[in-house]
Amino acid sequence: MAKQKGSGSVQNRPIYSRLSYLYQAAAHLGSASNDQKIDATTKQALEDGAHSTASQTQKSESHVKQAMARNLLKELRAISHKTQIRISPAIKHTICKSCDTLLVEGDTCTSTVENKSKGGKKPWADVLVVKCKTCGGVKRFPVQAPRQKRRPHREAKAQEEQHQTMVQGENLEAMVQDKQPRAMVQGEQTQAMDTNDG
Amino acid sequence: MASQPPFEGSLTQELLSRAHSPSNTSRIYNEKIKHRSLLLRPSSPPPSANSREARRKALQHKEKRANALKPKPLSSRERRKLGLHNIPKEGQKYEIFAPLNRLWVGYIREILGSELYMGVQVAGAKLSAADFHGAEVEVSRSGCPSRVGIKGIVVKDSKFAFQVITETNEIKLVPKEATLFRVKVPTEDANDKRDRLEPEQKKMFIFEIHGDQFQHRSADRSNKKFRAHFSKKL
Repeated sequence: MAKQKGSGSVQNRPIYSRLSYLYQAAAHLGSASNDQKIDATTKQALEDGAHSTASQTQKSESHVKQAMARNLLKELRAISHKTQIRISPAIKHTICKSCDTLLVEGDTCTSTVENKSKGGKKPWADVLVVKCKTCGGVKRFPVQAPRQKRRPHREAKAQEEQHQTMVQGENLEAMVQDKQPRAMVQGEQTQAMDTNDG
Repeated sequence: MASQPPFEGSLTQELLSRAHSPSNTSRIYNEKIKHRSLLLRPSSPPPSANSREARRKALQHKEKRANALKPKPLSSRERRKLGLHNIPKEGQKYEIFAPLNRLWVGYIREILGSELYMGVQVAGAKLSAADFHGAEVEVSRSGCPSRVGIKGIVVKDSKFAFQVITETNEIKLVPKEATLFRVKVPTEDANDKRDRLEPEQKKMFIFEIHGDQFQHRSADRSNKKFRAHFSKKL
């Protein structure tokens, strides 16, 4: 629907900005850059000689940050479910599916490449495995294989192909006539939806 | 047995004849006893249907197993067990959440845009759908007098309460019921005018949240429409 309205305006802009705020906040809390700052302070503390207490406070602080980031990401997921707004895959790849931890390479998750084919002979069977350190949840991404399209796109294409094969024998004009009323119906539906929203 | 059919027949026939007429007796005897068919194997359901059933069951089992291997969100109990959302007492520090508040101010300014200057009537719809994690909130009025004046950054926005971290590094659970929360958003960018203006002189966009009307989960608020109506509890 957003596409039909034109690229300039985005529907549900407040919800999108809410989602992006939540992600930004979580990224800010859960990212490694914060920890570096803490490292600096702990180094100072180390010089002072208060090793154990400093490391403890750092640990608890990072724990709090992680917990807060998890809260926010849980919220993010709940909102995207409620409003039926799709989170972009790039963002989704950085959130653990089972415990909602922000996945930072080397910090909260480890990633390895796995090849389960016989003797590892098939290079296209390489799979990137990202393992969350908090819950042990695993994400798998095929490295070589091309990404499959989202289901609606996939189905639309399949339907088109089917349609074409069916029509091949018939006249071309018939196909055009068949398609026009469908488009009309779609337009009407979207209009109706728009009025509902407003 | 074959040598003495009349005896056996006579006994059963005699019994049958007590209840039925002679013609019926002979019919029943012939159909039900003499020519009774003996089934060696159940003939229903037919064997072909049986194998289909088995195939379907195997498929179901396979699917179930594949589903079990899929990553799924942890249940609430598992989350609690792992302590994923706990905020330990040593780590409760206002400084951790101060940058979150700065981010939030930027976010609320972004969604409100020019409505920041137009008043709450216009901005209400957007504010009711906004996120309040990271907002600085102050209890302005409450049915419980000791709650009045609690001020801090929202850590968790649950259905019936705000969890707030105060400047004295305490986390307080403030129920939404019968309380008014005041939120202040500085209209000018803090970085630009910090040198010139004192914090009191800065122009603020101030609005109040009626906790009674706000008793929804924050995710549910995102596409909920609030109706304007008079509150009886005021």
